[in-house]
Amino acid sequence: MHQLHTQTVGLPATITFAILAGLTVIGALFTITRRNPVVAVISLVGTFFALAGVYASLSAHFLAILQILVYAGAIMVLFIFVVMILNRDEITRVAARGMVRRGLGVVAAGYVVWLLASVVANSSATPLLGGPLSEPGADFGTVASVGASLFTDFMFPFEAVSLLLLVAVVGGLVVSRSEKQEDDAEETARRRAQVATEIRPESMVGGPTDATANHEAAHH
Amino acid sequence: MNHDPTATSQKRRVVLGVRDVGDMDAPELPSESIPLNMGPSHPAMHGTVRMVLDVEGEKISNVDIQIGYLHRCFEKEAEHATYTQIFPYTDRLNYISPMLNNVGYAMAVEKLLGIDKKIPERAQYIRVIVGEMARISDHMTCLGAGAMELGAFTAFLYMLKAREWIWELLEEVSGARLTHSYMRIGGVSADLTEGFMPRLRDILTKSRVVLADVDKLLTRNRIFRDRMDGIGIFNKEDCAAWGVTGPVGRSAGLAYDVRKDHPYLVYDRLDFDVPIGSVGDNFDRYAVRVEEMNQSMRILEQAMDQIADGPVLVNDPRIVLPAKSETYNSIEAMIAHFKIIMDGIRVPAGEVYSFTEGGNGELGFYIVADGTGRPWKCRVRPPCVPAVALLEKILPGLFIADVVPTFGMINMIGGECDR
Amino acid sequence: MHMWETIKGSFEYGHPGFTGLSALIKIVYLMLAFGPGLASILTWMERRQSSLMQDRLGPNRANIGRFKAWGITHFLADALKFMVKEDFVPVKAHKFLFALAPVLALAPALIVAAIIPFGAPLCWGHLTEIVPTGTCGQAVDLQIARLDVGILFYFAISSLSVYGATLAGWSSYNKWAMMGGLRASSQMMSYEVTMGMAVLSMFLIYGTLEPGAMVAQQGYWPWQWGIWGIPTALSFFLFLTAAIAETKRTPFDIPEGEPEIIGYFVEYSGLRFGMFFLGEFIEIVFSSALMVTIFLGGWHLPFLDGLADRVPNIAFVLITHGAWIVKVFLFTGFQLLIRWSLPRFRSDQLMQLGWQRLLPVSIANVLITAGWILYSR
Repeated sequence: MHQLHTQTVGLPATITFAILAGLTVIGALFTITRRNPVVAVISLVGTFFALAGVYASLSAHFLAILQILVYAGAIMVLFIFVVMILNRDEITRVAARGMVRRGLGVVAAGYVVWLLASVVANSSATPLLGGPLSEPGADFGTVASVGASLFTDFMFPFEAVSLLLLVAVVGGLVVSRSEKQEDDAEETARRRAQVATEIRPESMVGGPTDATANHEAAHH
Repeated sequence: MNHDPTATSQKRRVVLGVRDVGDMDAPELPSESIPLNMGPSHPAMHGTVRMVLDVEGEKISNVDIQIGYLHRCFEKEAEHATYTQIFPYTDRLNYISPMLNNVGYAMAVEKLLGIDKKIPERAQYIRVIVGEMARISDHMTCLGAGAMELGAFTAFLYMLKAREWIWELLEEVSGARLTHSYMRIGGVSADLTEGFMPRLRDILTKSRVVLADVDKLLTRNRIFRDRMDGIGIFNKEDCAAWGVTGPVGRSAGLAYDVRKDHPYLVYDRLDFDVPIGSVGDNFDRYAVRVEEMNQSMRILEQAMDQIADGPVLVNDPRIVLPAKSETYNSIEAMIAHFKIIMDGIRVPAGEVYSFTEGGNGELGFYIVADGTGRPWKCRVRPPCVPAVALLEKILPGLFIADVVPTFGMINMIGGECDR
Repeated sequence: MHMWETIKGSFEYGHPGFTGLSALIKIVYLMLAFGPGLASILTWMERRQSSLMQDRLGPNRANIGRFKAWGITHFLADALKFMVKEDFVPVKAHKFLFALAPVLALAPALIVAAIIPFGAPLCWGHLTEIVPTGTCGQAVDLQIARLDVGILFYFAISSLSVYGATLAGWSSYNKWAMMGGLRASSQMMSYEVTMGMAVLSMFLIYGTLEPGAMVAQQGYWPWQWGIWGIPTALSFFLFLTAAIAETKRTPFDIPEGEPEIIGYFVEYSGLRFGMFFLGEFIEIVFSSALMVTIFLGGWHLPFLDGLADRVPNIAFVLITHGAWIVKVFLFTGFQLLIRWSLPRFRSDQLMQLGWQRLLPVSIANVLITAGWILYSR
């Protein structure tokens, strides 16, 4: 592997790759070993950041920026938002409940690992990792080329994923909307309506006000 | 609260028509309200109040207001001071309108002495004038600070600029910028200075410009209105039951102003209106205060026209110190001076409750005299305590951010509230 | 000998050493000198300008001997104060994250400057000659990085600054700070969306994401600038609003909200607080610079068309750079002006404004712009 890289990209790029890949792995390890969930999330942010660096070093600048923008800048902020307001003690550590689902998860993870390992092991046989890497084209990884392939070759998966996200958004709204909030919203609307019916002075400096007439009526 | 998570989730299942499939979905995350300590060292709590809030997210579910951080034993101290020596203490009650406290206290003692009908007319006018000036400065501080706490810093500094003009004039009259101690039992300590009237007229003109500026900055400002409209609604019944008076009570529709309903001094000769709010929210309290400043200016202008020359103290050697020239040149005056200073003014035994319209509402003094020169008991009815008490009922359901304008528009003054 | 070659190469156009050195100089100048420098002046300007607005004296005490200059040296006094103050860390704070948070608040604010063009290209080797636009073979861009992703880089990096506020709030072990952190993260997330949507219609109009190319498309005359036009003026307004919300200043200073929750940095003191403080002002500087780039013609000096054909290249570059500085400075002044004129929103009103008003408007703006471009083709 190492030989293959030095053949095509030279020493500085290899060193960069080693640093970034190392940071990615260290971040990932921290993510699963830290007890403190906030630290774990921050480690994951670091992983994503290093991964973006790997993408950038492969000339995929747009992908790198999206990696930071979407994962590090948006999704992980939501993660941290949720983790922050959770009370640490309430997170159950290990429970016997749901062992079947956990088992399924382990099997799925094992499958992914096996798949990755087999790709790397047969690297010479796969077209992407096999031959010596050539210099990418000038428009490789640019916004225009990625956008063009998203909206032509991969139109259907792209739209399907966006539909899935829409469903998730609507679902999230339905789940989070409780009765109490609706009551509160009604109450707020009622108050607003009450206030809106009152005639308020536009400006109060100079000129007579309606408010004073009230008192005169009450007292004289 | 009235929120049972299991009940809600079952109800929701019915509403959405989702089949109940046992405990497939995880139980709702346990949530609890967070106790949050706001104050006494919190910027919006004026350093003198502590609110222990129970918050769910940012929404307040319960509040416990604890006052007393500025307790200075005013009432106990007063029992050990002569009637005259209490004036400086009253300055420190509502420390943004000390003149009004001065007036209120002086009138209580005068009522006990039975000389409340004998106060010279000029002294009464002067009391009205400096009192209304203090009211304007009080409202300016309240509105300005309220706006500042909402982030409108410029409005605050405009108001303070105008307040400073008033305080400079009061300093000229009394010798002290803030703790005036200008009143005396039986009148005022000194006549108005030369050129007072033109300066006051000038200040009124300039203050109107400042008020117009602030009006432009705030009254129709969408953000300001969003923060004020419909927030912290006091209702009339609660105000009456709790004894909330002044601008807060009037904003809720409680048409009670001591100056109008129980006229004292020369208020019955002056034409002014009492603004009443219709909703009782923060904006009404703002609007009522702005209009009260306009009315105070009307009062000032009439009082300046009506005031006539004359003495400013009653002519009673038992109450009033002899003139300095007399004190230094005759033994009788020297003895009289000594007796009044050392023993105090002898007030006949009895009790009195006298009340005036302070900056925040009915400012009452209840004094029990035992015939000596010092009160046996001197109790203050501070106008802002009932309003602060009522806040415990108003705040739940609002957001933490709403505490700031609501508390600001109550105009709770630590010195007065905690005494 | 090898070292000498490297040094010599650093002055030859196209040599890797030259590229590296010029990039280094640009980074040091823009990110370490200009940004923090203007931000420091802004801390003074904020006080001085507000004092003019509020009819008061303003800062006038930190004079160096007889050197007064309207109190401009106050920022030096501030810096000194930050340095000598006690560096307080709450006992139960998460030490590492507590230390990391100010860095995360400051660093993204500086890094975003990488894509901003701050002057006309320098023509290496022909500095004293007249070089008409576009004829230079050895152009050095006055822009640290000319990235194809351009403004997306700005968004990606500036979206990281939310961690500074959030982690500061969480790690301080203080409920008020925590609340500030929560408010900060929700606010900045929400307004990023509007910000992106607002600039999307500008992408459509320019047909590029690269700020340098955007500036090149704008002309010398103010009506050739990005802001001129109905959809773009709307984008400008939306972008400005969202940018102020991103920098967390009044009327959007809800995460700080001094009289309400004091803010996510309530437990910070000394230099660490100084980093938050400076970071906020640097954000103002570079968000202003970005808006100048997209909407206000970048470094183009108004009304002086064809200047490049008349003066030597170096003079032209300096003049355009000066024009850029003046534009950024005036725009930051305008941003400060807003702070002293408006009260603060409440957090739910802020969310309402962001999601229910600004976002639909910005989406409609994108659609209308797209339709207009499609129609005009």
